[in-house]
Amino acid sequence: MNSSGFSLIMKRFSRHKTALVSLILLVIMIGAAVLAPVVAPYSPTRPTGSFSAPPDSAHWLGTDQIGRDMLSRLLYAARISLLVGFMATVISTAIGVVLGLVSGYFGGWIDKMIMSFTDMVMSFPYILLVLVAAAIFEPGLWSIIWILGFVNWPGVTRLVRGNVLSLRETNFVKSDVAAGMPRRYILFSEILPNTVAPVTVYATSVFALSILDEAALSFLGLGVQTPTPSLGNILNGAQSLTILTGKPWLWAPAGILIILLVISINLVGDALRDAIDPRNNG
Amino acid sequence: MLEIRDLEISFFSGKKQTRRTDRVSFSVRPGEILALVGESGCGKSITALSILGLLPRQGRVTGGEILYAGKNLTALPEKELDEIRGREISMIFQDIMYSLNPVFTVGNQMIEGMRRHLGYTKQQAKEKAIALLKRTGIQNAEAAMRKYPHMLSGGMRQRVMIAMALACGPKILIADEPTTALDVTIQLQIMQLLKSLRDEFGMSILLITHDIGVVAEMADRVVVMYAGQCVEEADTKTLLEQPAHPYTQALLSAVPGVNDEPGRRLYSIPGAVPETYHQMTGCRFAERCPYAGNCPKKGEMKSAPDGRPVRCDLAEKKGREAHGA
Repeated sequence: MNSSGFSLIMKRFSRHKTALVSLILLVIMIGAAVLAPVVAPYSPTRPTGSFSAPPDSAHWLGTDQIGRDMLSRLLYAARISLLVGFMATVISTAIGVVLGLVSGYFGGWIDKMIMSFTDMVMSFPYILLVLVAAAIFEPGLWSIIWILGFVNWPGVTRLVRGNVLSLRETNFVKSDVAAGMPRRYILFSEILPNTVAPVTVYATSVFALSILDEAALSFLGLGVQTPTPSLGNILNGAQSLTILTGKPWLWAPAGILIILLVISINLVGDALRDAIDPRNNG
Repeated sequence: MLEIRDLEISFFSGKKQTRRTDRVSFSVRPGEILALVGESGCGKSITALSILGLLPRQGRVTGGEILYAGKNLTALPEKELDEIRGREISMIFQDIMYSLNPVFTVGNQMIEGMRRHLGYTKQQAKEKAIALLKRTGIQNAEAAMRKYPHMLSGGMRQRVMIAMALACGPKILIADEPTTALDVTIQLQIMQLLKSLRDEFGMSILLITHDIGVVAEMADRVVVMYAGQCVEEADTKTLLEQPAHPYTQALLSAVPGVNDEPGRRLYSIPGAVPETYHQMTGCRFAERCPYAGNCPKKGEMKSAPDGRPVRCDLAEKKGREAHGA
């Protein structure tokens, strides 16, 4: 997409004030997470204070049960959670786009095979699938990324397939065939760019969903393992009632961060959908 | 040059086979504009699509052949067909909304196409694209190159389409209702453009249309199709002045004329194209034909008194007079 198309999208996007605020928030959160090694005041894995101390000037968000700085842990946790969300989205989008393109363009038995597989994965009880997979594979950062990547692609596949089905009937695709263009060119240079917009929008919701799923899995102890901090396993430390009622600094910031991340990503995704929609003029 | 012989196209749904065209035969001669005329659903468009192997998934050529330069296009492997597509025979379509890729600029898609197809450098392709756009009557070609399809008017888009179809200098251009979606004034401009391009490049044009006005304006010869069959073939002048098939006659009287006496009710052909025409035996027009009374209704190809082929059992004996016109 060249500059004029891009600036048009930016213009339409910036009319959504909430989305603009979300985007700024998101940039700050992602920036802080990416720069965690620079901005974090302490190491996230080594005790640096007293146990379960409430926030003070040295530890802005207090310390956890074994004396690690909560702010530093939170920054590193956001980094891990965003990494999981991002990588899982990349994996599911890549699988989904390739299968959707092939399925929609070639049709016939290939389409039938891919779609029944997609439906199968889709109809599986989602959380059960994740739990079983998490139990089979050794819990850890990369297994959670692969697991989440493998459960979220069917939506992308269906989206892309539907798009390709309508695109392959358009005259610009027929014109390409009539002009003797190679299939590879038609599929990747003509059809694929037309699916970028809807896929991007869909991917934002997969991103948000993956962050939530990571939090859920890690909360259950099946995701990212301590001492590596993630938003989910920070919450995992807050399972006892005394902590829940008496020591909110151990869980509230992580919870709020998850909510902020997910809401911002979703709002940005919504605004993106409006901004990219070509029917939305002026 | 391009010869279509006994072409039969079938559509399949499950095991059910529907014959959409029945022994369609005609040929396109070098440098001529041949019009293929008929109502919607008569099989003219799928006949055109089948030439370049563009039938939708359910459709297939189940009989006859399409001969070009000694090759039967229906039996050609995709790879060899790609050699003919665009280079020898190219095609433009009716729907102008989606005939250009909405996410690329006009220049982008023209240049990419030519680089792939003709092995041009970027600069060569750009120059050729601008020249082609200018030739198709786009005034500010350089500016148009930078525009996205949605920024262009319908007429402009069709001009761009024509420019793209001409990029490889095809010998035959198939135009599937190229002006149907356009305003009348723009229609005329596009028609004149196609005609002048034919004269300049010496290519043949196979024009698919339902518009008799367009036929009169453009075509050298006409093939009339009805319910999946060719019913009449003649040069334009003869067809307009002495239509031999009752369907052609009816089509012509359904055209409003400037010289009509005021208050003339516009003629409309009674009934509709039978939906299940593929199952019919005998004459497919019989139900709507005013002369069906004492006609054998076999619907076989006969010769009109002047020797041209007509699918009417009465054509041979009495000619036009018998039909009363």
